[in-house]
Amino acid sequence: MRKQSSLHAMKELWIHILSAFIALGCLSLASQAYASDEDVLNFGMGVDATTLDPHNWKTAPDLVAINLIYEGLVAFDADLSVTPVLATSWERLDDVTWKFNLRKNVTFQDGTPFNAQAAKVNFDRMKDAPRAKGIFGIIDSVETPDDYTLLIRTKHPFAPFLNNMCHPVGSMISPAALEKYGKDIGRHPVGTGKFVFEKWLPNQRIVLKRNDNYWGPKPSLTTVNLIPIPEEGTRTMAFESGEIDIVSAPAPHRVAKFKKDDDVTVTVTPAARTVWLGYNLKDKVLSNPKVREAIALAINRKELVNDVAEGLALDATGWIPSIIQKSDQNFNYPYDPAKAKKLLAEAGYPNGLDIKLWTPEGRYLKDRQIAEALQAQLSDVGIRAHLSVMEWAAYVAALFRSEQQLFIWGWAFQVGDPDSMLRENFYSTSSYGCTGYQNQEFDKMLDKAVSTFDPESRKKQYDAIQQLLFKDVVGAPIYFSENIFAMHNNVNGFIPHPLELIVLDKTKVKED
Amino acid sequence: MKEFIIKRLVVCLALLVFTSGITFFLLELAPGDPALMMLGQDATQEGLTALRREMGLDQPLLSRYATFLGDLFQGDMGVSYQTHRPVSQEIAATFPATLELSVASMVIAIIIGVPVGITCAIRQYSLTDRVVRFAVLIAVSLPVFWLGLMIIYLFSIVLGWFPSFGRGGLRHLVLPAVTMSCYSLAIIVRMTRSSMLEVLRCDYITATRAKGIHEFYVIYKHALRNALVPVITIIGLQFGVLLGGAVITETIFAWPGLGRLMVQAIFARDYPIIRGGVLMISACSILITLFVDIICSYINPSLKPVEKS
Repeated sequence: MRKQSSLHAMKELWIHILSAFIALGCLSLASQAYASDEDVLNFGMGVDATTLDPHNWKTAPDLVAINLIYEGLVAFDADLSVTPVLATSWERLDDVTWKFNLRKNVTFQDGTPFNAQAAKVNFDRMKDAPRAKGIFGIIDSVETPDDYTLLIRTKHPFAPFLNNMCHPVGSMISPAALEKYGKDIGRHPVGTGKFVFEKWLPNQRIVLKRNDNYWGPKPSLTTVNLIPIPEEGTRTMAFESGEIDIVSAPAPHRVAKFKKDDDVTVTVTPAARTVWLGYNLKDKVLSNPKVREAIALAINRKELVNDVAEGLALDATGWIPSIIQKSDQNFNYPYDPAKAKKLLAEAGYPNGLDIKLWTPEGRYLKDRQIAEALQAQLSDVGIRAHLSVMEWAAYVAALFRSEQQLFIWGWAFQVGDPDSMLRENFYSTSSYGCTGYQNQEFDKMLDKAVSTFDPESRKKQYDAIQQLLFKDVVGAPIYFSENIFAMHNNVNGFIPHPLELIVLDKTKVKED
Repeated sequence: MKEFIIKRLVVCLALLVFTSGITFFLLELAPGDPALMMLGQDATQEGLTALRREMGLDQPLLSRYATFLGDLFQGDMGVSYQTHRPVSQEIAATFPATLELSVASMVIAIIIGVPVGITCAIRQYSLTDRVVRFAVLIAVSLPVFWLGLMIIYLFSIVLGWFPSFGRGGLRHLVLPAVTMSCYSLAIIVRMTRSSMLEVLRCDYITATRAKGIHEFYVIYKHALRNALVPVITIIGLQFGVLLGGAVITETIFAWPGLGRLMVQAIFARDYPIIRGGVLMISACSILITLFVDIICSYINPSLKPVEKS
């Protein structure tokens, strides 16, 4: 009797709970509102932006959003050629003076007119912004002879100047907005771009609306949602469920699956980034060029690129990716384990040697796995590499202290020119000397190349520079990165950009 | 009682200062350099030195801690290195999301956990009891990370019932809340069951039944009241665990809460945000414990603090 009544009481309670859950379920299903609008693009990326202030950008996602809201005087198109944007034409008056004719009848998204004065306000601001200084520190003075002409003088002859001008860090911000928002401009961006900033829900989405007052052809998309989803698994599933239309950098093992899916298009395009096995030349063991060469010869790149990186990177033919500069020559080391062993013996290590091998995890495509495969390849010639996998912040700090021997390292050619990457990594006085390379000859060659304006002559000089780096064995290039995007077939006209940006001028999301 | 609460609040304050100290010094021990993370790979040595000076990182450790504590007592938790916004603003923007998720998880855990626990106690060794105990064992052992992804796969991709990520209304809340409640639910079921079993064996319950009182009242009025004390304690502790453990769930479901903010801050070595976040979570956990103690003493007056005469 007692048991029965207690069971009865429990049953009653359970009925209440169940009905509550059913009500909740109905409510949730009733409020389904995920119908895809014709011109809304949901773009899934790994992390949220940190600021939308172009002159003080910090991470790659910042630039993705900045590049949609703002414009500079010139820009790169998808094959890295310079195209006019807020400047209609330009001219090099002498080795250090550039004249830009500015576009008329352009207004910022807040109605402020764009003219030479507005551009000057921006270039003056860049002088004090640490991030912009890296690229625009070369500028000596900016003059405004009239409302639509800008004369920019560089401190010395600088061939990649136009390339630098193409970087989103050179975006033009509305002077009125700068005055209104001051340091908070990063949260209230106002540019002249194709999309107007609508709102930013941190870690949820950045919402951009089409700029209906845009000076040129307007994009088809009316809304762009930039959605950060840190977990790769969730990001992929959000893509599979149709909640996001395009996903950037899906994991390599998913790419194969997506390629088989008829409803999904995968684009794999060259990116302007080289990943290599770095050597710390200040280290005692690695100061011996024979050891360095032995290590380079022990690397089977074909295996690393095709098997470990699952074919989603390009075998490095040297230091400069062909998207930056095409070269007929190969400046990389062949796979020759026998010669590697011989060189090691000649260097005084007939029984092999012990060495530290450092790698970050998740920074570059398959970085840790590449390091593990390298460890195995090096052991074949008697080099016992002791692997340390580090979190990015700890890794960069340790490299800055020069405690490394071998390390996996990558660098983007952020202005689409060979100079900045080579200078920051290998120039004698480079503050970021994690390679420890010092060679006066190299410095002279690099300085000469950067001030040579003739493209043919420049190309030859960079070939010679690569040849010198090859001869001095300053590291072993492994692969050139690629940009990978997966998108549903209802997305048309999406253009991935080699500088890890996105171009949505002609993108359209059709209704299913 | 008032004296007890005041005393406890003072202890709480001391605990918070202690936590802030541990967080501060542990962060200093961690490898990495906030200035380097801000300036990026292409930082220059001069730029780094200037930025470190600007951020006060060139000051001695103890003097920095003193400044931090001084500011803290004035309600200033500093400014984020990454976004240059006040930490209090960043926390205020993300904490409601974490609280929403934790409360929803706790509600799910309680409204399912307590009745299931009671059912198992009443029907000890029955099939239901065995099945539930087995399920509880599995729920405790499942890694949240795996469970979250499986739940997304089933309910977002296969069934398409709920969105797989983000915040925005009840539909977005369901999956992360269910995922996060799983562990606490299992703990609450176990605790309720064992506590109820113990109480049901007490003489006063036999006496109540002998009086002929309806079984519903025996269980829900007389037994449950005593059985609930350890359960409430566990719920309080679990709530603290949920707030702190929201990190994983928030990362999987791209939930814009404090946990995710802290994970990003850790990767970027944004010390002020990490310190502020840890302090916020500690303060909540400490207050919840205090609150639980007060509730327990009301439910069972024998637990009230002894007043000194």
